[in-house]
Amino acid sequence: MIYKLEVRHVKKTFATRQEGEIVTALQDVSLSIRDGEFVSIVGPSGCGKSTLLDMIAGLSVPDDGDILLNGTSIVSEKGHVSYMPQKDSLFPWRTILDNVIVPLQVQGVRKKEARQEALALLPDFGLEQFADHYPFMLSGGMRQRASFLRTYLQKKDVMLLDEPFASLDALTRMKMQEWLMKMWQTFQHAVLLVTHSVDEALLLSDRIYVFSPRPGRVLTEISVDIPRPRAARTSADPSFTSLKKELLHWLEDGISHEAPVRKKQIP
Amino acid sequence: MKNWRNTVKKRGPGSEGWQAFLLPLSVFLLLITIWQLFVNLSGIEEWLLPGPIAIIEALWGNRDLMWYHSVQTLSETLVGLAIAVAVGVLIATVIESSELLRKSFYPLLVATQTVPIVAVAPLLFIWLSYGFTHKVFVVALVCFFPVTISLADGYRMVDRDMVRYMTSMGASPVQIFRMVKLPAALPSFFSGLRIAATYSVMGAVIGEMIGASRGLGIFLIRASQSYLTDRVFAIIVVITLLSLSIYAFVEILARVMMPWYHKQKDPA
Repeated sequence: MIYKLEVRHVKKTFATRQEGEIVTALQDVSLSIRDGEFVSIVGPSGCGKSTLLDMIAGLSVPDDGDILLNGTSIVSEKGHVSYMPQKDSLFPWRTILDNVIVPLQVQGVRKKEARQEALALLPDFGLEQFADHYPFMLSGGMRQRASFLRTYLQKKDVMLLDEPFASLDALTRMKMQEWLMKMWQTFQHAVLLVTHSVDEALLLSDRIYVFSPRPGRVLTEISVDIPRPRAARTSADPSFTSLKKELLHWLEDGISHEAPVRKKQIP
Repeated sequence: MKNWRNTVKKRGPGSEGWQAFLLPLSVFLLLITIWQLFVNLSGIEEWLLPGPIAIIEALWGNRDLMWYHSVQTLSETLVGLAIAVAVGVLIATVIESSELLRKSFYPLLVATQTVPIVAVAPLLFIWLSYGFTHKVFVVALVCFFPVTISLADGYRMVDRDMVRYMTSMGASPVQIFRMVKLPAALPSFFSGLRIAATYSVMGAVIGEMIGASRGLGIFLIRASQSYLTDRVFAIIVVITLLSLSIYAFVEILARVMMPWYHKQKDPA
């Protein structure tokens, strides 16, 4: 079977500033995403989640292994997937409308046509009243919506989301998660979400890959068989809590195996 | 007390803006009045210290001469400033395009900034004689460094994440430059241009002082050698007004080109 996106035995090391020391960020990572599937990566800080997204986006090259899109290698090639960076990275000198058309302009669409196309989409993303606003005038949640629309307008059927809601307060975050679920059900992209929130991963995903601390590798893969549509209150369901227990168990296990020194310090 | 505060606040930034304008103006008028009173009461000689009224009379009485010399100084200033901006933008952009060029030239640029242009002006006089070109060169030299260095620094201050984001979409270096680096560098560029604007008129005046047949600098030297102190003051007023108007022009330009930046700075 050909997957939408497949990561095969990818390895990545970095040379640190201290002479000769080499840090393994990712150690033999394999994962796959089917068409229209919502997959999350959960792991502690420094497990190489962002490194992996960078490689899928073509921003860096794996030392070993392959990355396939529809069965074809896309290693070190840019522009194949839609990538939403961790920081919203909206351009402060552009209005919201002109920010979201950036990917269209990069692809060579003229400004006027790009604006028309984006303008028609603003209501779907709840941004119609902010077209002429500058990013600093918007709340964090609205900025993430704009950032998401910009990612959407890259028009690739695989989306990489790098902790998109990490900087938001809990309530906004919850709203944005529900909103993202709705958007995903409308547009049916294949999504790879990186997060360190267990609840966020469970609420949104079809499947979850649990990563170990550095060097990052897949500890386990968990299918989330909670029926959709889900909502914030889904997190109170017994099926949700049992999966959460399982996930947390894996995460704690991974950490305790990797950090024996720290474990000794805490009696 | 609380109510009073609220009503003041409700008047909004408009009234505060007036306050920011009226307060320094009142202080200025007060100082001028004290000056005039001092001159009147002390009976000090007019060639030593003329009062504000005498200065205004000198300004108005010589308005044709003032205009004649101002036009010269202003055109030298504007041409010099324009050349400085053109060359500065070019050089800053070229050295930004290559790490090697930047490493080779940037330290030199910063170092040459410490050369006092006032001392270089006589040298330029030897080379270029006392014509229009000489003054334009002095102005351009004075303005070149702040413009170039601020733009070069501005390019450096661009958010790396934005560049990465553009790269991930497959944007070309030219697209990244036009859509990210250039707009990101504008605030820094304009702070350099503001400095250049305030120096520019001074550059022209210094050039004229060294040798010229026309311009506020030589007019000032002649007036001072004749002990026409009221006229000297009047010329200083004109030079100040010229500097202020060029500064204001740059300020307006900055607001037109970076509406986002100023809206963010003073959300009115």
